[in-house]
Amino acid sequence: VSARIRIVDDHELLAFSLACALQAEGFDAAALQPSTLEEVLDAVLADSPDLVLLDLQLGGSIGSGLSLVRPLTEAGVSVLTVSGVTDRVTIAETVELGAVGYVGKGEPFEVLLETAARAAAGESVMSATERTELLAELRRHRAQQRAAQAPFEQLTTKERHVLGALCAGGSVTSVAKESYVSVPTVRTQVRAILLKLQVGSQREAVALALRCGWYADRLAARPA
Amino acid sequence: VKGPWPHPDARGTRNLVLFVCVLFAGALGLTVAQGWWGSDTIRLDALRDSLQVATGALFFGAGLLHRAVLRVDHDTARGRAGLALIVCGFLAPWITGFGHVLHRDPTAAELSPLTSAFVAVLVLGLGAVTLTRPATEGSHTRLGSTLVVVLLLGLLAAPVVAHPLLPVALDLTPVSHLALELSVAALWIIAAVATEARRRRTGTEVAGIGFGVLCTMGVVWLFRALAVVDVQPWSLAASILLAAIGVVVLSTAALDFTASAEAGQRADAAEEALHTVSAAFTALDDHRRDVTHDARNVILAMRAATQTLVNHGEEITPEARQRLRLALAQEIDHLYRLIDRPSGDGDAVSAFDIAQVIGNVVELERIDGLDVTAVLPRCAALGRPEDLARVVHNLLANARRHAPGSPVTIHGWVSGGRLRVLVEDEGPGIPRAMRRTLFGRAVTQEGSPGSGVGLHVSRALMHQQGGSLELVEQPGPGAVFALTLPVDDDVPEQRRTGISGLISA
Repeated sequence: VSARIRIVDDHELLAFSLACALQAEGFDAAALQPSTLEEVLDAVLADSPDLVLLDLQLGGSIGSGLSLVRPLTEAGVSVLTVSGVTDRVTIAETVELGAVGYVGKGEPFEVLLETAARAAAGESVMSATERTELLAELRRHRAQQRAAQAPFEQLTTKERHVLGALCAGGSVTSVAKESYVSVPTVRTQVRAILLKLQVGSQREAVALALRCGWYADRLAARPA
Repeated sequence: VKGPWPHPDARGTRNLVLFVCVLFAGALGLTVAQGWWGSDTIRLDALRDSLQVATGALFFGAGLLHRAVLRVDHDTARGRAGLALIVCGFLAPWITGFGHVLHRDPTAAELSPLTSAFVAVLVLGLGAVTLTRPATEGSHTRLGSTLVVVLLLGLLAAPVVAHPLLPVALDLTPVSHLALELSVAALWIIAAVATEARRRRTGTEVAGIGFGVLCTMGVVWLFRALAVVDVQPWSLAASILLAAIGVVVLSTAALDFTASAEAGQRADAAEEALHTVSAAFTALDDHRRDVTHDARNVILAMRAATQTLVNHGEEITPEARQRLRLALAQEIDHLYRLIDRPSGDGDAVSAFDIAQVIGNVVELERIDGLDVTAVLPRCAALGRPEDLARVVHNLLANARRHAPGSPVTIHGWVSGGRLRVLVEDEGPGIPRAMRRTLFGRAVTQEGSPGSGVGLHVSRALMHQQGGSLELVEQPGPGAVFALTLPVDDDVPEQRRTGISGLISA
């Protein structure tokens, strides 16, 4: 009995080509169009496949394919991520969530096919060393993020508000106008922010907040 | 700009020097007058105490101004100057009062050698500490707040400490008093020379406190030394000179403050401009990334499709083969559109006359032999007229292809701030099985000559301009497509829906 493979990718041509090629290789392969998270999950699980080739950027209402990895692996389906994302941290996250491996869309098409075939046959597509390295990298990355965000703990609520507004693209003048305070007051707060974050300029502070994920975390914690 | 008076306005400098000379002449004149009328007629020593307090206020104000300027120019030298001046401002009235508590000898009480020596050493020490070590802003703020706390505690504790000291004679002998005043004067002169040498060597100067001010401080203490020898007039002259220094320092600080306020405004303007530019660059960069990302995905998909066709062309079904070929053709179209409109300018929507735009398309199709009628309100819709024309053209081309010979009707109306346009034909309609996937890429009816690009692209085009394109589910025969667009709110209501505005083409 040939392995059953389902392909979840918002790019139809790629998904369809992969399905055709895998069919030609003798697999029971089909492409599924992502619509909503629940629908994709239902559609995939209804076929009870052995392997799902999952894209990480699904667009539309799903967005990141990361949220599909855990439910699929929990249902006993192997997940191989096939994506244009080359960021090691994202790849490590999928591995942590239970993906069996990763193959870049940019790899030669034969490599893509071969990896999929190996994963479908239950062979490992990622060595234990590679997996450990990836997970170690993820841990290091998280520790770094935490360390980089430590100085932000010293900021007062008002300073956080000002920095958040600056990150969102505001200026000192616009922040002053929005919060009904004077420009020098905001500038004093900005100076306090610079002192606490130990940076030289407002631009640097914003760059730091964006780079170490403070702003993203703030947005996630308090949706507008 | 490198002079003893470190500010740019030459006329201001001249005026200040003149002011100091007038004050000095006044002081000497008063002392001479006092000599003539005798000390009982004019109580100059009372004048001296209040002058000392006023000088303290001047120094304090100058210090605050320098600290304010520090916020703009981040100059540590200015921070030092500000701190020293604030300390002086705090201590000047304190010395006046404390001298009378500490000393019983009238000369010593008036000049209070101990406290004045303390002030001089404190100020110079502060200067030395901050000059040798390049202070960071943080350490500076800490130093400042520590000093303020120490001074406040000193001021509060002074009367308490002074009481037990009262029986102890802290008066100095005239000779040692003279020596103390002269050595403090020498200290100021040395500081002045050192500051000047440093300025010549490194080009940095302590804002507002340069060679001139420090030398004059030395002269003040020389006057005090003279006062020990011959009490009344020289003591007053020293106080007046000190007050004059206060005025000079305050004016320098005020000039710097005015300049820094302007500089601050300019810096704000520059910051805003930089912000705008950086936002524009970020948008451009985001757009470039989006286009690159999309193009990359398209190319990768095209590669996958061609590889599949090349390697497995024999094994896959003819339908699948055909579908891959059609999809490839579409992707090339997609790629072209990505590159054709790379700047994102095409995303801009404008208000346009819906009846005219659709009317033009309809007219062309009628010339081409299609039986089509349109009833449209004359209203302004928001969108991209060329894209709307393309969508309507696609819909009419589909009707011509799939419902040959059937009449097509287009009618539109405005409701709830949106324009709705229905395009109906009386052909066989859309097969039930195709309805769900109708707007997907590369969907074609079997045996249909179409490439399938029309509906997918049409819907994308409508979405891009804030509209929509749907298939209307209806029981009867024929296909009905509904497209919507936002209408321009600036146009008055009756103009949008007026019956007189209906046209039929």
